Amino acid sequence: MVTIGFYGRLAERFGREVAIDLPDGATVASLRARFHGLDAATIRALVNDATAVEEAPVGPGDRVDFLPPLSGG
Amino acid sequence: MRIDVRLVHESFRPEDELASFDAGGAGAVVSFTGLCRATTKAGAQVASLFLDHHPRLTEPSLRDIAASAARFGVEAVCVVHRCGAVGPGEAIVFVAAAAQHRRAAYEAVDCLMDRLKTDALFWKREDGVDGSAWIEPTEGDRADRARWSP
Repeated sequence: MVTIGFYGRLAERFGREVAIDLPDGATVASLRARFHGLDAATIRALVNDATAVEEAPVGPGDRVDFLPPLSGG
Repeated sequence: MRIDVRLVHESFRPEDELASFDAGGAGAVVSFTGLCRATTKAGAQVASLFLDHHPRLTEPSLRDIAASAARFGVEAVCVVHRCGAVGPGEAIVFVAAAAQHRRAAYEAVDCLMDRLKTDALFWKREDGVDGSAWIEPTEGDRADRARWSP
């Protein structure tokens, strides 16, 4: 089971947290493709709290966060 | 450099933060307070602002940004940032820097605010009478941030 965290407008669309089973060989890119609107150009991915490249493997026990553009201050 | 960083879930008083900010004998203190506006850019009334955050990574992101003020040679910095629902007129963010001379303190606060707009882990939504809208950094915000690259 992989836990996916969403923030900002993504949390409104998909929920704060989703847990799903992924096939062997899953990556950030293949996980992204399961959700509409997670454009790699604007939505940053973290795996286990660290910035991850699209080819990064994702497996059971991992947490993946998708971060829309930031707006603090 | 002394660093005081806090992510706060309840309203705070920027005047109290400034009063308790320890300049440590430095000659200059500059502070900035960002408030929740009463109206949107389009002129609609704002009921509240919602600041979503990451439960583990938002505060470290504030700490990283605060630490970057070391390049200005300041002696102390303070960053206090709200999360959750913020009402019009309430403080969203307070930033202060202490330095031997004013220029460094001004520059540190200016830089920290530009970085907070684009690099701190927050997602801001304006809730108004006409609906809600997520706010994302503008080209102007990115250009402001780029002045301090990297």
